Amino acid sequence: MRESTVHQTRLMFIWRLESRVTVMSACRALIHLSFLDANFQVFLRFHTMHSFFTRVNNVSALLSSCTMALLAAITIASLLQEAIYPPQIHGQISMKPVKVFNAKAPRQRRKQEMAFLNFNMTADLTPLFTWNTKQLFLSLEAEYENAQGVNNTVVLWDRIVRRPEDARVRVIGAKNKYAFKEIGGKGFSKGAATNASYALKYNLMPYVGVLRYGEAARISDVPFDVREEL
Amino acid sequence: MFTEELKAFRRLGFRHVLLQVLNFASVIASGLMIWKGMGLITNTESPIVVVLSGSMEPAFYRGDLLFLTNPPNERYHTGDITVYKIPGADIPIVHRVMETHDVSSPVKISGLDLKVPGEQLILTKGDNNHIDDIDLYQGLDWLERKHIVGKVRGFLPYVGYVTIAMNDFPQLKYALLGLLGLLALIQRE
Amino acid sequence: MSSAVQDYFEGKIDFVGQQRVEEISRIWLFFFTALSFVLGFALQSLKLSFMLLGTSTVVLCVIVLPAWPMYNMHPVKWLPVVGEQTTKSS
Repeated sequence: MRESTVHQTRLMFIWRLESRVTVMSACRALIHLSFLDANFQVFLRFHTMHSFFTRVNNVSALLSSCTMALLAAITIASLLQEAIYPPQIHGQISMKPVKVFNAKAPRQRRKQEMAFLNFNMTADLTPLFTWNTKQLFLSLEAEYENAQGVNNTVVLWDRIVRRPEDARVRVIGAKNKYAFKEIGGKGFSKGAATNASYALKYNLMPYVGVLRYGEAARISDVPFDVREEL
Repeated sequence: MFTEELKAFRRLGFRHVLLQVLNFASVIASGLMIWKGMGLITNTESPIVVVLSGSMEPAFYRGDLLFLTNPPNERYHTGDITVYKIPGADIPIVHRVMETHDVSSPVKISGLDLKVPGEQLILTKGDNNHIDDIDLYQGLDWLERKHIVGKVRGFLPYVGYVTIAMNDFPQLKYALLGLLGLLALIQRE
Repeated sequence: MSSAVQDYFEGKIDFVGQQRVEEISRIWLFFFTALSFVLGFALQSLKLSFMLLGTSTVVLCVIVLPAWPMYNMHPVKWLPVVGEQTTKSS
């Protein structure tokens, strides 16, 4: 009778080890095989009665499965929440005509045409903050096509929002943080790009789960105002 | 220390030992199968990576686990977080896309080969860095599709820290081994 | 001394206790995983979820890991040694 009980518990133990590995195997392939080694150690000496370490092993295996289940539940809940109640984000951008000067870009030897923005922007992003929101990455980007047939998207300004208190964005008279210049150093006048669209995009980063993207505001057809050299 | 193991082996018999070896092998094989299968589905060489540097803080910290995909027909957008590997650099880098330039008709851009439609030039930057990544590109001016391993889709915090800890503090490995040895001494049949 | 230490760390329990321990830990952890998800979602706090799961696991460890006497109430009863008796009688 004793033999059969022991045999049965051992089988259960193998089953548990395996189920734990399938749940976590992807992570595990990465996290080394040291855990498995440890399991195997206990596994080898497990042929009498349940000892302290067997129980530690069992509880930790069960806990890791439960944690994975909790993480998966949180991920799915966030996705469902967003699908059922899509966050309504409305923002506004206003902008003076974009000035283009011949100037020296940072870390460049030659002068080249660069564009300079002066923009106002308001948006309320508080609906994006839920229990699973770690931060928002906001970026203002320009979209334009030049005469060479290249579609360009360039991030000109960004901000990281980490608290819902900061999610009401109000930016007045701001300038671009990053240099805005044509690809290959050709210049906007030669590249024959006449105007561009600007959009405020957000990237929602969760504590756990899937990254989401969206657009909060957009302004179309802002002309480039090419000036003489300063 | 090993006498007890040997004793255990002898008591279990040869068949049981083989069975255990088989079980162990199947565990490892199933792990490997899932890993490779995921790589096939997501079209990347490594669908899961661990963050090693702090250049994307506060989005990603050291030890966070990232899930990547690399759909073959999808272009990259600004704001996407990509993992790229420059030829000659030994570790991949995870940074955010700052600029994309999509070629729609053949075009010659100074300093580059002729670009054909469908090609995309990309510039990246780490959220925690002040300047873009050109200095990391080892002489290249732009990233191209072939340099990009994948795009970050999902995220699990801290789980990969064990790998980093093992890398950073080799003593930890020995401490772990020591602990196992201690357990072997304390336990008995 | 070493045998006392070994006994303490080995913490053997009987087979009935073993089954009980497994049942307790399974039901306990499943229940608290579900509860921590529901509470965390209701109160919109991820921190609460993981704190609850963590604390419940610590409590579970206290309940399940040491070889409490209640897990040793059904010791295995062996049959008397037959060979010894025959040697005595002869």
